[in-house]
Amino acid sequence: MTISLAMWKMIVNAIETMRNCPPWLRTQASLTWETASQLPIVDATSDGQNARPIAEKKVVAQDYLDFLREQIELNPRGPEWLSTLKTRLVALEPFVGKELIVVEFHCKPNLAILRFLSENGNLIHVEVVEA
Amino acid sequence: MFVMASHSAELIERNHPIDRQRLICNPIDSLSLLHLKYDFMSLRGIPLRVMAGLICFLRLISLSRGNNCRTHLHRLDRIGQQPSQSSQQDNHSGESPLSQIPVGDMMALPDRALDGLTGTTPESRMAWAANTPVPYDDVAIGALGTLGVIGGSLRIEGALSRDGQLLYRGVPGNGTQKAILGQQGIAVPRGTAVDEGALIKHVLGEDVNAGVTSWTTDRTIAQRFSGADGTIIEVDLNRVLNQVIQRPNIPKYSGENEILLRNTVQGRPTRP
Repeated sequence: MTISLAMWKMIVNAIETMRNCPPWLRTQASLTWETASQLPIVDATSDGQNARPIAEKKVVAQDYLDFLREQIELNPRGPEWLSTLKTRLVALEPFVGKELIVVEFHCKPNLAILRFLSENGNLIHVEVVEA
Repeated sequence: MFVMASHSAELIERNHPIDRQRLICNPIDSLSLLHLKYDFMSLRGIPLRVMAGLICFLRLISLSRGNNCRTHLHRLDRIGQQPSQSSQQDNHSGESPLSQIPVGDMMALPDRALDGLTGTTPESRMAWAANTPVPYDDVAIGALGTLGVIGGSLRIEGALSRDGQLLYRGVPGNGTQKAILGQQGIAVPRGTAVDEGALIKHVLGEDVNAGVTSWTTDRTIAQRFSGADGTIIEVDLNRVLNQVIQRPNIPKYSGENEILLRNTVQGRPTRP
């Protein structure tokens, strides 16, 4: 989905309230909507280069939560991964069947995923993956 | 830069270590002819047409000796973008032209594509190349075999595809459709997306309809993902080389030796 100006403002507001927001994400959030929309797609960027933010609507699916629970039980990637998945599961569990707006920010190899509830624009989860 | 690579990475590895100045190659190694040596630098400036002629000549020799390797010339003006006419003719399915080029065929490679390939093991050279952006500003020609280009970046398939190399995929035994298929040795991607964003989310366990499944060269890692009650699917890497898609650079989990395969894979189901 295309990120509208109103949605961009919502995203930027959410990022500005983030504690421990990584500098690269704060930099992207400081861009105007027009500038951010003209950034190259992630496939066309190299390390350290800002990519165009991506947004998509996604309904929280029960089978995805089952997948998370299974991964938590198997714990194939160690404690940090376990913590990441547990946080993600806790954030998503109350919203099964609800539509989210999932926004991705890429500055390779870093990534941030923000999840907003579609119906009211509330930020429900942020995940930052950095090298 | 002219590169003609061998179909036997191990032969190169054993007899002629690759360095960035010189690639010693053996395009007709199955004939046990003398190794042909090319100095990259001395061949700079020779027109592509002349090189193509040389390749065709070697191909004729090869054919006359019964060598089965194919050497169509694929010229890509920019890696990952539209192929030129010659390669479009070979592109029947409308997929990325890169995914259409069989191992052993000739293709254009960007200049500097081999820069930094100074590792002493096939694995290290593969990793170096896979994590290196390939510049678009120049091209050279080379033979797939030791070299391959997948998803817009260079990867040394020959090194990766050493004889007997197996890939493993751990599938939990949870009674889902994925688990049932896993017990039959079948791995089916959730979707079709293979853009970099989708691949990154796939590796990070996000809810995404990526067109790939995850495999590893390390069976113990597959065991972690299958659990004790699951299935480990095994497949010969050589069988699925044309399905390999470059893993996005996510340093955090790079120790898993993860390899992404597009489309459905039929392998052998085994117990963890």
